[in-house]
Amino acid sequence: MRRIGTWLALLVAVAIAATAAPSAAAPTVTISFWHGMSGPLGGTTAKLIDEFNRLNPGITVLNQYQGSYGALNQKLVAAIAAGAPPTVTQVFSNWTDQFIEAKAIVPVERFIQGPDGLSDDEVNDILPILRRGNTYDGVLWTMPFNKSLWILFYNATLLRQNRLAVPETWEDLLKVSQALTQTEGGRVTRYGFVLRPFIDYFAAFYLTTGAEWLTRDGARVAFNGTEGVRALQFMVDLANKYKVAYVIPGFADQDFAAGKVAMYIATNPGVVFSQQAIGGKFELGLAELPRDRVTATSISGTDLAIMARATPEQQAAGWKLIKFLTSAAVTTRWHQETYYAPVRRSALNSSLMQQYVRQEPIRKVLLDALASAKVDPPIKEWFDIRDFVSTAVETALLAKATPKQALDEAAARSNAVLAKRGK
Amino acid sequence: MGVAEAVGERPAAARAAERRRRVLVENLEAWAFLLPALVILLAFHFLPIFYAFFVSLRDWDMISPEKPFVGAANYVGLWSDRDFVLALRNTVTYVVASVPLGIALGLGVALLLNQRLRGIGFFRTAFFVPYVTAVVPAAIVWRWIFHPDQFGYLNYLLTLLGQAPRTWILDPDLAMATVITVAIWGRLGYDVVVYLAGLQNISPDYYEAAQIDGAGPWQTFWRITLPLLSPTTYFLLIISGIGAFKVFVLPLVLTQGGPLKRTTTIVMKLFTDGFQRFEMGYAAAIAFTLFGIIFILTLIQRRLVGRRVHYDV
Repeated sequence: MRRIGTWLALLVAVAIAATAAPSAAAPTVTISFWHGMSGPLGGTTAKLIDEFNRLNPGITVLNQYQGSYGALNQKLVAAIAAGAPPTVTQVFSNWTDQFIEAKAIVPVERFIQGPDGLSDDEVNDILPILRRGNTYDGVLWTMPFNKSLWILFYNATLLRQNRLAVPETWEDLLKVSQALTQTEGGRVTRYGFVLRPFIDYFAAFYLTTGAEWLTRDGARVAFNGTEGVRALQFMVDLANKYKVAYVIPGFADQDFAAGKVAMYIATNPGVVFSQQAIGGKFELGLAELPRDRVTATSISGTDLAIMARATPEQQAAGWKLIKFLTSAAVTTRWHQETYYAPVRRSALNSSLMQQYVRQEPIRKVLLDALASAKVDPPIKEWFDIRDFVSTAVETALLAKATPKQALDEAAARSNAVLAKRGK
Repeated sequence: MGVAEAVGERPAAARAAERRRRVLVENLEAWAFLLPALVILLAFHFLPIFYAFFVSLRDWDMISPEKPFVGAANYVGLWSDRDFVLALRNTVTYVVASVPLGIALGLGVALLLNQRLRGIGFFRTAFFVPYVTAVVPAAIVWRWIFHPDQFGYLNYLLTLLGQAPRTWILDPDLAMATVITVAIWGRLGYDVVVYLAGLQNISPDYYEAAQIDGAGPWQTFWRITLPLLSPTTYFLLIISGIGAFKVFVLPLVLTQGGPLKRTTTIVMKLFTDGFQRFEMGYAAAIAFTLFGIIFILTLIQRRLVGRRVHYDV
């Protein structure tokens, strides 16, 4: 009887020790990370999260893929409304604007200045254009993560065979497109270029005129000026006058890989998808966007935000994760595996990065383009304005209105939306 | 006498009380059976409807702490929103084209399938299969058929016939027609089955009498079949009409509402405003406006068509 009592006491003691020991050593914080990284991008994300979890025994990050960016946005808004958001999430700059207004996120600046923060040098190391894009009313709210730039993708094998130089200007683009557009029996078997009826394709031309999206005071849009009209007219001419480009709403990488089109534009992670589709059939070339007056491109992609509903411990852990994902070492690896732009100057200039460029020279274009990149206006109204401009581009490409008419219409609607801002 | 009366009354009163009790128990039982369904309907159907109406009078993005009352502003704003007016026009085009055409085709096919034919079961199944096929995979198959480049199946057929290929779902003037075509294909089986049931309900006596009176097939159809099918036609008109006003999945998969938003329907617009732009008040106002439109049109149909329905006696 006494023996049993001793055994029991021992058992209880062991049980208490077993459950209490780890929590006494390091209390575990569990946080969730929501993102929209699919396919090979998701694989790299998972790998980085695993590594973070290994390096930080006190923190468990749940890596939660939410589907497309659209689905991520819907789930985020629903989760915020329900009071159960994740700890860290990917956000587009126009979502950030909305989430700040709703008091749903906290600024990363708070953690940068905290005990586990970043030095001034470490902050200034983040590329200035990315810092600017993530600053709202003088406060850094989010950290840049998967940033990409619009780039010209071309079939390098085909250009070489036809002894064509890589296009550097709009005129070059037209000439090369004309040279590579092939017809057989009155039917086009290969186009030089492809246009998608979206704002991003318009931006690729518009920004190289040197013009800006908004007027200096930010109160009105500026894209319906002479530069905007000229850019859209050039796109319309490529498709309808010279007939060297066709228009499709969907992604162009499959058509490109199948040899139906010689050049298109896409962003950094497009390199992964394009090379997957090409499967070694020909060599992929990259170049900065053909320019009008200036070399320019627009930045897309998301930033990382910390949600306000998380506990202080979770927020601190979330910040640790963000610090890790945007560190020079990780952003270099992130670029190496996904082609997304590195977010730090030190990463851009590192010897490791130069080694990657030597191994795969197309990377140089992606890195060089950062110097001339521009960010979208970080305002929640941008979601609507994107739609208005996209409609204008589609209308003009379908020849249902002149570029001027179409852009004026989009500008009027955009200005109406901007006028309501802050009211 | 008085005593006798009192004695006689007592069992009557007791019997009445007993009856009341039994009714109460029966009612309680009924309520108990109804309760689970009622609770679910209330919680997930009626409360959200009332809440949606409450939201439709407010400016709310789902996550802002405030939802200021704006009165009828959302409802008024709709009519100066070009995208809403366009979506309304698209939806009306879709309804006006797909419902009557679908019903007429359904009647024609039902008449053919009402014959005594060998292998009739196969044909009846064949026409019903599209209706039980999920919309999304069907629409994806139709996307291949209507593929805009020269390799699309329909374009291949056109080229064989010496016609120029078309861009179908990318052509703003043809896109809605393709959506309507696929919609009719998808619903045909349902209309056919309902019409077949209607046809088999018509007593052969009428046809016999018509034959004796020397009526031809044409007269028989116009004077007997069609009038006696009018309850079926009326039912299909109401049900298909309501369904057509709510069309969403088919254009979403087939055309994504494009090109130039020419195939964006009211419910697609509602979805965009509610779940992509998060203008919940505005989206709720669209929902109630759509409800109002369907309600009024159904009342008009009752007035205009309902009167001309013949019920067999």
